[in-house]
Amino acid sequence: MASTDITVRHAPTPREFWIGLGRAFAGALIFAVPVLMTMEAWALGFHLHSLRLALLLAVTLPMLVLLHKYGGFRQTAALRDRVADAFVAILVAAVAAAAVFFIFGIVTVEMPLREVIGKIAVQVVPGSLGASLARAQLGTSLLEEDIPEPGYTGELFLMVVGALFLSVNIAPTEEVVLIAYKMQPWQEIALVVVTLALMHAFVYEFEFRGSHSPEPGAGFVSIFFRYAIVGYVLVMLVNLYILWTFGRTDGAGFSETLSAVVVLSFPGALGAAVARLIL
Amino acid sequence: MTKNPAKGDKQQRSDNKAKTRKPGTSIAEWVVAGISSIVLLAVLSYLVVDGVSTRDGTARIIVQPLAVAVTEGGYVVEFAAANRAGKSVAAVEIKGELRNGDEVVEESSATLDYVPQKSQRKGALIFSRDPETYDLRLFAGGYSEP
Repeated sequence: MASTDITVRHAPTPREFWIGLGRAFAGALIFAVPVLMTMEAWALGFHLHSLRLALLLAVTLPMLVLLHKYGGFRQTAALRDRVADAFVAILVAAVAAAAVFFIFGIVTVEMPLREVIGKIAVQVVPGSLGASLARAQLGTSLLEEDIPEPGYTGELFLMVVGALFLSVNIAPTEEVVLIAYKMQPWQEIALVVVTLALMHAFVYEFEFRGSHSPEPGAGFVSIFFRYAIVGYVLVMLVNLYILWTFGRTDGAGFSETLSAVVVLSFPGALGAAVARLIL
Repeated sequence: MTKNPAKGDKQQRSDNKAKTRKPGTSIAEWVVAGISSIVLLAVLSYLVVDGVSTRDGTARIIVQPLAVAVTEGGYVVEFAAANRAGKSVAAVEIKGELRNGDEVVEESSATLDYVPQKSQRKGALIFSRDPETYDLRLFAGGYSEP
């Protein structure tokens, strides 16, 4: 079958494109279904600030373009092909979310436009990530040498995407803030330590399939500081951005915001740590 | 150039295709990507215009009765609560009073989870007396910000 031909970068036939599109839909549904079925995410659709929502959508596009360098639903060579793929992923995610919401009765025809757009736009981030990852997860297996090996910034970028993916699934829920309320300061410190340890162990000690030592021969301290610590700080920044986008930081004090960021960084860091496995 | 070469000549096929088939994106994908870019641009413009023009202020909630149904449980007054302002509100308490002159004969209330901006939500209040024979008054008692 021509689609298994990965040694040549060629324009896909229409049939290959439709297969890729089908896989993208599957990926979008699998990755977005937890958020699709979260009540708080529906409500976010209309009380989220329009400009923040617009910014989130605008950030998603270049992120997908970059992500398609390391995966995506087909082998893409040039930048313009990756841009096309990113747009397709966004449309697939929006169509999938709209269809599911319509069937669920969450979106109805008499609903005002702003509400419909908001509800669907919130789903586009996890959905389009899922559509992009569909190739890596559901598609034909790629030979290792066909995926460009990411450098240091590439590794960090994949961590950010992994964090964003899990965080965006969990950030809309009330539980993040609730857990932050319940934790004592020493428990928060413990959570940071545990998260850092897991992050380091998951990627560089347990040797999952697809994981690798980014720099063979580099010592524990070097790897720990340059990947786990830097990765964790990036995860926290991503989560601060997500919480701000979802309006969770509005009116919250510094320590309250920090607690929520630490709580959300637990799933975020897990996502970042296993990003090399799924992305 | 045949579309489905035999599986055996993989090496040869690779060499041939690399020269004859241009790298890139199929027409179908460009069409889908084009539609997507237009949709995304439209949504972004809509959200930016909406974000710039929306004034965060107080919600204006107007409650209107729609119909009265007589049931075993009482008189069910269906209402529509419309939020005319560009600000969404949550936990909206809808109150209803049956008045006989200045005297409140019966009270009832219901809570709507959300009334988004420029939207309406429906609900019902239940009275034991016939609302037709009294002066029915419906209003929003309060709300919380989401």
